[in-house]
Amino acid sequence: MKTRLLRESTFAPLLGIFFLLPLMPILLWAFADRWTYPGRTPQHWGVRGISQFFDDGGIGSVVKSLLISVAVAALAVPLSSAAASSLIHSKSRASRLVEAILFSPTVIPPFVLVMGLSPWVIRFGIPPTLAVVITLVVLALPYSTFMMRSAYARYDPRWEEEARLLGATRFGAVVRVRLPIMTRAFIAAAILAFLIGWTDYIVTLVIGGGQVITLPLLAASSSSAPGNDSVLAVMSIISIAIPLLALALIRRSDSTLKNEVLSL
Amino acid sequence: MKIAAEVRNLKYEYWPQKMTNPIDIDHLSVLAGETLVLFGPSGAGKTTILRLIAGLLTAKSGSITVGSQDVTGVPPHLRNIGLVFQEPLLFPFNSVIDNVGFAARIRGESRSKARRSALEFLQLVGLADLAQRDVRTLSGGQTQRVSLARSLAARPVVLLLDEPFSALDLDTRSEMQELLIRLREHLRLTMILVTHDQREAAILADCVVLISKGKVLQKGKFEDLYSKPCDHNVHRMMGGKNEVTGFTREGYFHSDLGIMSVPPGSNRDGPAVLLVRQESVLVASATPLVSREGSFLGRVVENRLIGARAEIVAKVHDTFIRAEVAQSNAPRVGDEVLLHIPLDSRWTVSLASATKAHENSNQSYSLVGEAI
Amino acid sequence: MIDRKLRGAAPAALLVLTVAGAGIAWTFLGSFGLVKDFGKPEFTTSYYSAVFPAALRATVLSLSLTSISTVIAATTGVIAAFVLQERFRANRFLSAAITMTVPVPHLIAALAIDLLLGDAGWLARLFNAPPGAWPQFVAGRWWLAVILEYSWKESAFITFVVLATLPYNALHLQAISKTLGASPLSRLKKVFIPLAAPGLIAASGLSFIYMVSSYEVSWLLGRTYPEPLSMLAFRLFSSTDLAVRPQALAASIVALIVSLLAASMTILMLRNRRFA
Repeated sequence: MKTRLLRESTFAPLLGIFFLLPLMPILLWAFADRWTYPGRTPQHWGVRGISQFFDDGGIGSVVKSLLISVAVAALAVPLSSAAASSLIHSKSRASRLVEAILFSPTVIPPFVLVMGLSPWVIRFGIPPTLAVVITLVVLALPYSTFMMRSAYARYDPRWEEEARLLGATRFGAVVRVRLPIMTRAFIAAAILAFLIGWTDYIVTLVIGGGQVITLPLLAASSSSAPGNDSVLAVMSIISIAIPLLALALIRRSDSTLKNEVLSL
Repeated sequence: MKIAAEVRNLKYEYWPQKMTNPIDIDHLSVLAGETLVLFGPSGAGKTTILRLIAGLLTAKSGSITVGSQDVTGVPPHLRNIGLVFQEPLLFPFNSVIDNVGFAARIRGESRSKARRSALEFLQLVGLADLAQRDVRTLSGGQTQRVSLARSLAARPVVLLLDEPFSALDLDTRSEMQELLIRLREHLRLTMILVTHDQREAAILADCVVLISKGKVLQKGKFEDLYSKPCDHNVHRMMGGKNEVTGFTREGYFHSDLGIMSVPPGSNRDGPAVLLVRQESVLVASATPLVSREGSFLGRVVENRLIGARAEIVAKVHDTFIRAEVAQSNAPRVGDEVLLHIPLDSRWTVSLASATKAHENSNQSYSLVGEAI
Repeated sequence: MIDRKLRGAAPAALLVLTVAGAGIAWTFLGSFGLVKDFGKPEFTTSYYSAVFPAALRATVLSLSLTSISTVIAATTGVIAAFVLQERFRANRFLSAAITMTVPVPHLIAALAIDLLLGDAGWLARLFNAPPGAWPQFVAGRWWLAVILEYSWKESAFITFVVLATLPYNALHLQAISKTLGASPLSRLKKVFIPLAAPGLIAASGLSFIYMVSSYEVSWLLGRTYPEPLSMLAFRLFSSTDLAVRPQALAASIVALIVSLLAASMTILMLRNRRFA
């Protein structure tokens, strides 16, 4: 109805502004060469923040972040997929236990975990980046398993049986039949795992032992020094932009994703 | 008699653009205490019209009146209508009685008061003993009854029903139709019901509106749509199968079937199509003393069982006539038979409208004939 | 005994068991002095007693911050989900805004809030606040910036989860309620929220635990005293005096207990409800 549309459509933009407001100053600061108080907009626009970003090793940190996040997604998706498909069909007491184990990382504060893990990492001499990836995979598994589980609940295993009857091997059936059908779910789980890796701070800080510098860590160290607002804003924009870009590319390639839950 | 609800110049287009015809209704009205049936094939737009009346969709233009209130542009919760959907969908987080009492709680009544009046409505539909049940344990018929009680408990001016019984088996469906008739009398209900089931329309309707492709084809009593269809499409939608082309002149219809008079009220002179219900065609074995007006000889080319009766197709010169006969003395294929169409079963419409309707429809004209 | 079908879950479960088990075991045992980075392991509760007063204050602070933020986030989140469930054109802006919020790391979000609400922040400039007159959102007595950051990020998360777990017939049920006389507000209260409840409770529970564990936000936007549980634990952990490290482990175990309590409460609240 006209009146209802009116009410809900005024609400929506207001809420939208609430959600976007904190991002506004970042946009302004990113291109501000000089912005002293109490100016409402920068007195001087420029790209000093951007060049400082490159000087400070920004690109390296972005690459590191990407590497770690992609690795987390690459490991979490197959692990959670196998777990979810076997859990969905099993109702035994053992499966409840397995479920509890898989979802337990959600109730463990990451700093609790990493304080206890870093001695092991040091003792066993595990390369810091690898240790970070593995820890993040463990933290991501509950979320990707959850996504995969709801997808498998709607999946009919008879598709794969049919493929086997037509001559495919077990692995072949997974690749030729399950993968295409479950693509959307795989992508959703991959995105979640990627984000967990991309946004992490404490795990990378502690387990990485100061040697793994991802974008959030670079930002954190820059924030303790004054006058870095501009470069921090640039880092912030990159932090937000890269996942969004990935999301946009994925949506573009699969237009049916538009109607999926992930695209709100 | 008061008009309970009225619709004028209602126009609506689907968004996003689907391959369906937009809604374009000149005028529809239902009198207080009356049951209006919207009848027609799937996809005709009947559900859309109901949703427009309920306010769940916004019309592009036109006016809707419910009771004495102009409800155009008014949100659904203020329109005083009730809507029983085809899929009843009871609230899963409420028990049966709380479902029925939902409207009362919305109005601000206390839980106990709402439950008391809900119980009355549950008694009306015969389910008072299921009041505390979890809705997930109900059968299809029970769910639909609770849904009915729930909508009635909101005390609407007009109750809209969208194919409410089509998902139920035949027995349950008859039970529900009888329940509706009883409720209608008891509560003096005004209803607009959508169905594609001809029997249901015949049983429940005071007035039938035939909808096709978003437009009204014909309005009136069921018998009128049945035996006096305004064109070839209406005739087909009501299940009529005989269409004979020819022309009328001075009250007589000329065709392959000979010359026969047509009742007053049929079309004027000119090219015409004779529409005859297959149940009205009388069949007897051929005798030489023929020559009554409206009688003609034909040869049976097909004989098909349809339940307890049989449908035969007889070839008369270049025309095919279908007739429904009792199974026991049905003629066999190849027999020559005498067919007679009584006067009051003859109805002609002008060919222009028939041709236009024919061009617009996708059905082929004489299916059996082509096959042979 | 073990279901053959569970074989697929074995790698994932074993990984979690090993990693989480090793981490928690060390933290737990270390808090009692039973394992040490250096020196002789010896059972003691001295670390707990040493850290107890600070941990108590920290727990109270953490719980207050987190509870308030969760309430705000849940309210905003469920309203946003309610508005977003139908595909009106007006919703595209809101849905884009929420989509942009979700991938923002908390660290960056905290920076953003600082730039927005700080003394020299953008809002202060827009309102022409004379120096010193702008309320202390950041590092203020009421930890307002922290609460706002948590509420901001977590409400996006909650909206996302609610929309994902809404039953498939939610819109249909709401259409029915409209024909029964429900205004939009009644619809929200009496139909949408009951339907959204499982997802809402689960997401709020997850958010609560996340906020209790979060370090970077309090670090950037909060005060040094009093300090929430995560900061207490981390400060002790990074202290140059290594002997103090087991106290950090003790504080961490306290945090773990708080988390477990929150998780149990969430599970209890979810007990009689079903996900679609």
